[in-house]
Amino acid sequence: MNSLLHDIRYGIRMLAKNPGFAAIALITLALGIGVNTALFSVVNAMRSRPQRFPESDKLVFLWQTRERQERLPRSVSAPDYLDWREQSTVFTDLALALHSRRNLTGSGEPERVSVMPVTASFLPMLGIGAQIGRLHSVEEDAPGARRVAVLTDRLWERRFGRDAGVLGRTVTLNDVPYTVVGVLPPEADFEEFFYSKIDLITPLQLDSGTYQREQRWFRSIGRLKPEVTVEQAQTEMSAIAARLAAAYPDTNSDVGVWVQPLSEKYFSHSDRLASYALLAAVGCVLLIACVNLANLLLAKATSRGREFAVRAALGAGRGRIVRQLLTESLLLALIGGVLGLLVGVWAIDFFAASRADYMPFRQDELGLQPAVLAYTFILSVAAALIFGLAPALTAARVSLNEALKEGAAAASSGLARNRLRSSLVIGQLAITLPLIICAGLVIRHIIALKSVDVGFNTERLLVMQIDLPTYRYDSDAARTTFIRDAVAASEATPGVRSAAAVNFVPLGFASSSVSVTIEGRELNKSARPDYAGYNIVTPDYFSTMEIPLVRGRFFTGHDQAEAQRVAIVNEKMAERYWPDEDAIGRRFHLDSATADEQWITVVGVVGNTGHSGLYHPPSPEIFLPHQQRPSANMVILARTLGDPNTVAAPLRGVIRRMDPDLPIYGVRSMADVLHRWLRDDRLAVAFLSGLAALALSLASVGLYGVMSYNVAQRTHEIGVRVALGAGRDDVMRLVIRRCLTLAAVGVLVGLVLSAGVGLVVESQLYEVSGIDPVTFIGVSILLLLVAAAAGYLPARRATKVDPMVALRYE
Amino acid sequence: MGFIVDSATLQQALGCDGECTIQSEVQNVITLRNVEKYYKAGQGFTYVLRRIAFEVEPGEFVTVMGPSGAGKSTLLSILGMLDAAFDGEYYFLGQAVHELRAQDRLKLSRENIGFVFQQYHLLDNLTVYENLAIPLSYRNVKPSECAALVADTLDRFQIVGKKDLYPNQLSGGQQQLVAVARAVVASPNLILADEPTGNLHSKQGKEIMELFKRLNEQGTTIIQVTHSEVNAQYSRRIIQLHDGWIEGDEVVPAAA
Ligand SMILES: Nc1ncnc2c1ncn2[C@@H]1O[C@H](COP(=O)(O)OP(=O)(O)O)[C@@H](O)[C@H]1O
Ligand SMILES: [Mg+2]
Repeated sequence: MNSLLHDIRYGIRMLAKNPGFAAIALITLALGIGVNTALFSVVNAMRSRPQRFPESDKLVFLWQTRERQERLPRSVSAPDYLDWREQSTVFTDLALALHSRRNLTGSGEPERVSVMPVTASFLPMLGIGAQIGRLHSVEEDAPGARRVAVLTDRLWERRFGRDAGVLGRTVTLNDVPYTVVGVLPPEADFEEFFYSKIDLITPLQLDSGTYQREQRWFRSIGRLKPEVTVEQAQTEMSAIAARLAAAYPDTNSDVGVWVQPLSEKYFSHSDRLASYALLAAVGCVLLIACVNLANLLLAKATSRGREFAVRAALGAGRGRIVRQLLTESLLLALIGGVLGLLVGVWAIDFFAASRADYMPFRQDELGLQPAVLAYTFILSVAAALIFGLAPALTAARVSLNEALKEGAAAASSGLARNRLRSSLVIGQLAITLPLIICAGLVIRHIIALKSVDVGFNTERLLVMQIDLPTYRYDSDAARTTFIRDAVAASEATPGVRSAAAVNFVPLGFASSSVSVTIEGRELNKSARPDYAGYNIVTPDYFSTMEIPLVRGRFFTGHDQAEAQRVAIVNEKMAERYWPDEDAIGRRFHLDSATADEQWITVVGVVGNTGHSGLYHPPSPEIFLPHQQRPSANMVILARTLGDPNTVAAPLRGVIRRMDPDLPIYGVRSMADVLHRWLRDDRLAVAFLSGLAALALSLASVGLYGVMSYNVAQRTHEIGVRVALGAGRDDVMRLVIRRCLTLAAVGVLVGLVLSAGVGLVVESQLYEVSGIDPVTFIGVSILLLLVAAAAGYLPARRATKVDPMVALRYE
Repeated sequence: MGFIVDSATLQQALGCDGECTIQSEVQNVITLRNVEKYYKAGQGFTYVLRRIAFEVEPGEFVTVMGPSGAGKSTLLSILGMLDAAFDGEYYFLGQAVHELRAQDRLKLSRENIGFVFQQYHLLDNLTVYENLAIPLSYRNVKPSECAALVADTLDRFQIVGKKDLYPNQLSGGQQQLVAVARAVVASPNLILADEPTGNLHSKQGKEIMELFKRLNEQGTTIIQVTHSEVNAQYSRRIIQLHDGWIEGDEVVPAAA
């Protein structure tokens, strides 16, 4: 114990005596450990998300799949849910939730709010209680009961300034009054259910007659009985699904049920894989940092050879010397670990800031949790062992040799040390390369995504959502007129070149699809219906979006309610359903349409748009004129002359003057929409580039160190060579060649590793090969250039070797 | 090229009267005039060489003698153009070394000078063969020619059998033999040898000196530093150096 204290005290003195070394070592460690801490904190937050809920291992999501064996999260229908309740035996309870947007009016600005009607069992099942007041009761959930509402903390804060007097007050949703009975705590978060922030919870008041079996709009969760496993629940629910399929073949023939553990939803298998891959990547950076330290310590061990020789002569055993050196390394690593925590906190803040609009974690999940602290501690100790052990063992061996004055042995162990250092630096370069290549691949991926032709002009385009309340705009004519006038008024606004309206804007994170029957295809129609994207547009939609007309015509003002039902389809639709023939004049109808509805005639074919996302190939789309489908929920589109954001306020004013009670929301430029699509990819680029840059700079410092050491060791040889006629350039070449040889071996090994990594990440990349030659060759050249640069200074130093000094006999 | 000047003009230019004899510069291998070498030491300077002036003609065999620290090695490195930081004039085969650019100096020394050191200075991680090839690698010699030259030299020094050995597998005498071989592989006009036998037994030393004698007879100019009177007898001329000053420059009477 006493000697351990002595070791620590001596270690501190050694660090204080070499402030330069200590500073470099600590900065290296702080960065290396810091990125690990930050990333682990995020992974840990992901991992602990299911623990928000009591006994989360018994909580499951229930999804209705379109095919029996499918494992995709698809919404549920209410009648099916009621049948599940009746027939299942594996659950202590089941719950159902719906999501809708409604207009909140009275007391202040009208506002579009996000409402989640749920069964009374929903919140208690998730372990969520009221912050003030209470949740709605089972009685209030019964059809026809008095209407109550529970506010979420964010609405309470935003609209009522956290006033406890809100209890008992009335809020009006789509002109229907609700009595506020409670407020949820701030940590209640339902993002995973509908990917939307919730403002109010209302009773679902589910009635068996209200919803159709094919209206699969709901989310369902259940709590398993304590003795029931997920597999057992899956078996029973599959059996029930089969019974429902037999009972309702029209709607349920292929429909299955997927029982997904909540923990899997919150931290899925692929999340897990991605987390481990990223942890491995940042682990590699720390490893690179450790190698640098190992090399620094090896160099120091050489210069401290005499100290150890004396210690050995004074009777210190090999173990004693190893322990002394390891204590110093541990000391270094622990101080580095504490600094790493600071770097980690900073990086976490940076991450949180980049996700300001949607932070998937709670305050208490992210940050320096005990698990994170433990991880950082273990990492620091591991780092100390990694960078401290080899130098300590080498030093101990050398010290004994020197004590015994075995010159030859010492020289050969010097050679061995040289080889060790070279292998270490090769290893460093070999793991740096895949990191840079990954960053390069993701950059290529983003470039590919950015250059995806979305089929319309995304520049100078403003989008703005308005939802006409159907209780006020209760006739087709009222809605048609309002939308037509709103578009006209928008177009008349200064700075706007043209305007139009559409129900779902392309790339807008929401879309709708319908099943259609194509005239002439009814006979060979398979069991699965034909689907197409469902778009309702005003006549100027295509010209405003700059979507090209391929054949036929655009809509005109004449395509009115009483006129012939017409549609425009995209090229994909035309190719899919009318291959080798002209789509113009062909007819189809929507399967959901009532029997008396007429056939719809195709009058035009337009270019494809990337409707459902940047990653997806275009799918069949149909466009119907708003005059014939007067939808209440429309997006106003304005093509502007300048920066679209500058016309946002005037356009709001225009709509407000037309209807002061109409909430306007989702106002943003198309550039913002695109930016959101690329947000996660950009974050990945920022993260990987940062990581790659860190790895590259660490590796080049490592290479620089090894080359400096190499030059120092070869002073004599260089002196001899100069005496034998070597010029400046020859000496320079000698060092650079050595440096590039190391780098080339590192690059070769790294390329093999990179190919492996590339093939794994390939599936995540958009039209970029996992072994993209441009990236692989480019990054290899980059690494060799950096290696040459790292070798340049030592090489220059080599040219300064004075043969007279180098060859002087000592 | 060079500058061929008749003696009279030169005498005039240097302000000599009739007594000093000036030979045409082109004939000498080495001409030193007033060469000084000093190091900065604190505020002042410590001089290592003072007003060194002598000439060496082609085919001479010169010995430099003097106590340790006299400046012998320094003088040799100036002569060998490893050290260009000196004052005074140094003409090598008529070229003003003190005025040459580094590139040209390098070229001149590569073409004309070979070095032999007391510590041999063979490279430990290269074989005998590879050590011999080093000078050629800096002299634009074609690989085939290089192989031939090395093979020739190995032959001439009768060390063909040792060509694949590493220096630490050879005795000191053998190592110095290799070092001499390496010094002459590129056929220099001048060999500079700094205490070449200092680390050798007298028998081994004698062999090296015999070797120098033969090389000298074949036309190579040799300047050696030695402490040994015996070795000095192999040369025709002894320059005595003391504290940086030349204290004697005399012809050795031919040995029996
Ligand atoms: N780099 C240097 N800085 C200062 N003094 C030096 C340096 N190199 C050599 N000297 C001095 O120059 C003198 C001559 O050295 P050297 O030529 O090696 O002598 P010798 O070979 O005759 O023994 C010595 O006194 C030595 O200390
Ligand atoms: Mg000397």
